[in-house]
Amino acid sequence: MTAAGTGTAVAAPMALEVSNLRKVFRVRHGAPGQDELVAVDDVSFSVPRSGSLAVVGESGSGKTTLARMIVGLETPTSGEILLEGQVRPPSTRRRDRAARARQVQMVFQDPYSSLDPKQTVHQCLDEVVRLHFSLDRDARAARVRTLLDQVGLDDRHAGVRPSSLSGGQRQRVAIARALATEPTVLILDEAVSALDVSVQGQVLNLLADLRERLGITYVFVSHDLAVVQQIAETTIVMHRGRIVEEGPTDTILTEPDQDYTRRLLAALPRPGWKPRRRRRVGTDEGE
Amino acid sequence: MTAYDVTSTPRWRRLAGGDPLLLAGAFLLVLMVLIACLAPVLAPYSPSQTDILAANQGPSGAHWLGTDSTGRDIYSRLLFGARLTLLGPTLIIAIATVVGVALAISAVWFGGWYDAAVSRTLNVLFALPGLLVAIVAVAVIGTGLTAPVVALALAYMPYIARVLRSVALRERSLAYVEAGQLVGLSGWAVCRRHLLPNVMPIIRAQATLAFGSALVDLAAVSYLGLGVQPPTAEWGVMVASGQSSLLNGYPWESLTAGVAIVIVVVLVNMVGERLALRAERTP
Amino acid sequence: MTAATPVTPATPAAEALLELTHVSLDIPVRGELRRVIHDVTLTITGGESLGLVGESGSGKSMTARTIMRLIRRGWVAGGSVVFDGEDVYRMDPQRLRRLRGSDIAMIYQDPRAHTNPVRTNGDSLMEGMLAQGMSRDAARQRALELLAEVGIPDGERRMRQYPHELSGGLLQRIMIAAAVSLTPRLLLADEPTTALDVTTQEEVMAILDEQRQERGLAMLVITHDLDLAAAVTDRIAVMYAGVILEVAPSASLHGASRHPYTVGLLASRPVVGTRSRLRTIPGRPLSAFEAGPGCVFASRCPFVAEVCTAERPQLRPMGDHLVACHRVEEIATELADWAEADR
Repeated sequence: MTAAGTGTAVAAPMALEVSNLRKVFRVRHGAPGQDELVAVDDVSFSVPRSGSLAVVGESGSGKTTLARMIVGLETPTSGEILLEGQVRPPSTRRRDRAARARQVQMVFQDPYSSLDPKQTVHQCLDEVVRLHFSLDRDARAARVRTLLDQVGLDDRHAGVRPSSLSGGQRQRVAIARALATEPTVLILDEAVSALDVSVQGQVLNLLADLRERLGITYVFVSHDLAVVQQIAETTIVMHRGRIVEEGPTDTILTEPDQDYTRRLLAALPRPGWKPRRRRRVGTDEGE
Repeated sequence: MTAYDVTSTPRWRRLAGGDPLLLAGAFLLVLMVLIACLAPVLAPYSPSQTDILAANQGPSGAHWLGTDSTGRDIYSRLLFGARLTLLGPTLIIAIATVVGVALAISAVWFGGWYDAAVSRTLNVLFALPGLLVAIVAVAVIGTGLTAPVVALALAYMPYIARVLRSVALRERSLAYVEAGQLVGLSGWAVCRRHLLPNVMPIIRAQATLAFGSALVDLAAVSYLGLGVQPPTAEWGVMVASGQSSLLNGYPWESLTAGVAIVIVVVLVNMVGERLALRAERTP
Repeated sequence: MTAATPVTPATPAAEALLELTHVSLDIPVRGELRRVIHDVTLTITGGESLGLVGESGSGKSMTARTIMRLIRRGWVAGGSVVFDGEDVYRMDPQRLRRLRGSDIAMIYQDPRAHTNPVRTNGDSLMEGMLAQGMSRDAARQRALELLAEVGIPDGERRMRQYPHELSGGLLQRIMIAAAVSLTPRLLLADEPTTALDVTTQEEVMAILDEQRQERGLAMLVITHDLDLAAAVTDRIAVMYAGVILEVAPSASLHGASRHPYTVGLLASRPVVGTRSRLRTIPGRPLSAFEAGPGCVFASRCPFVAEVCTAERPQLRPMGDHLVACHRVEEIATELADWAEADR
């Protein structure tokens, strides 16, 4: 059993600890009193080393903002993020940048925009390896080959640009790039959502294998409760910026405690499922 | 580099790839530049060699395009004139592009007040009429190539910067740019290695299109007698100095120089349009 | 024209409302014709709901375009599309407008891209009814009724608003109201809920299904989600690389599907409550033009044999399914084992 949210009492080092995280966006031209949007509100959790946590929620739940704060693409309004017990180096100096990159990496949702269209797969991976490890050219090439092999690609894919790869292959390259810095924590932001069903299964299996092999820590952000169980043993459910439920994934999927989680589960198409109108009208205003 | 480098297609081939109009236009332009470079070899006469006895002749075996009012060979002057005529706009566009691209990309990268300041400045520069600034610059610095080139570079820069800023802004929002930052690349490295190569097609197209206008503007400055001074061979100068002969019924100098300008501008614009079209199509 | 092709599904003898017979489509890409649909044969009877399911590049959306004859210059459509006895390919422009404007109503994946952002929702909603000759007052009244039916009680206000003021779910409900306002005979829904959150998806799907059943409309639902399609349809056609590989009753899709692709697709999707390694189909979805002369699925099929790469299998009846597979009889037990392994 992992210890989501139990932070301090646990002796084992936590790969990622988030406490009281809050993010407020200023909304331009907002009405008086509505010029602020609380995207993430008082979120705390922790993930042990080699653990895997899923963050589940619908659009507007704050899950993506949370992920972007963890990797440093957004600055929290308040709260703390500890990676391996340490605060993220704040400066943009080369050493700090590199240290940060080795702490945490991210795989983005859209494999069509997350790779530089002008770079070949080899150039893309070599660039990262060269930046982080002082290896000669042969050693780098070997490392790139290993990375490709880890994600189920080979030399045939190395020389091509992303435009000649399928969505699934691109996402594999994006995973390889993230692994190239040998990070402790890997954030997967809807990493399989844009993929075709038959390919989604492959990538889910790949992610499960990689964690087993490399002992890497995952934070798997997704709107899809069904794929979460393939990846994560612990799950937190977010709604309107707050955590509404957290616990072991299996429990959340089979005996959810909260109404919102139940509603999410009930809405999931599955064999024998029929869609039903359940919400009172008028509640889905907003946007 | 590595064993599996499969990109063996030559660069120019990839640039022009499969577009006959683009290929033909680019070929003709390269030919023009070559001719300009080889003018001393190709020209039958010196561009400044006068011969009063042979003034204002029509085309003949000795003088293919005739002679001007002082008996200089128009064909030779056209060949030599191509050098300055092409060099001027090249300098203008080179300066405008380098400055414009640097401003646009840095504005997009840093955003915030810096971006706002750059955008404001560009808007002010937009309001400046290029030709007028060039004339003022000549008044201050004096005639020659330098003053109009600097002034026109300043006038063309905002056009390139504005288009590029919007393109770079879109590119900047794509995940691969953020991914570059996340793997530890510096902002400079992300801009130079990822952002810049991906907006390059647009830069190429914009620069080419601006080249055509810059050539016309610079020729106009010369025509007004504010740029390169006679007797130096330059097409704008030739159009101007051929005017008196034109009125006397000897159109050859003005006509050939004018036609040469039109041909180059049409070619440049065609190449620019095709490049812009390709830039739009490739992601 | 009546159903006459040997491959017409063994469905009720009811009159066919929409009949696609050996439909193919080629689109020019850099001066070369490229095949996006190889062979689609489908029948929808009046009041029936059919799901057309496939991954990207399968040609499912192109099939919808072909049905509506939304075909651009240079595209080459083959076979025949017959709507209520009339050949869609041969309709004159006026008849075609009627087909698109009132016989068949489309519901798109992205309602925002298909509404005019500078017109109010009310104007967009009433447009079709006005075009059909209804008075403004009557159209307005009808629009309000329809909005209430799709779960929008404050219709007055919503009709005054613009598309950008509404959430995706609300906008899609207005689209459904607009679609049924035309009293069509067939609803053509192309990924109607793909852009929506799951809870909103359930809501919108329920409304769509409700409206269809109340009015006895036929429906063609195009989606990548097998379970979603199965929930609101009578039959499902599974499409891959421009070919229909299997047509099955929606109720017996799970556990009874016969084509290796359908089985693989179902196995690729995790089932809530059973955590086990997923059984996946190797490789990536091919596009129609990449397929060889044989079965389009041959390159990814675990049961591929020599005949599969040589000859393209036709749809043939197997119980209450239609299956395009040479080896469907031989591999029946193997296929069941393959899907269940590790589960």
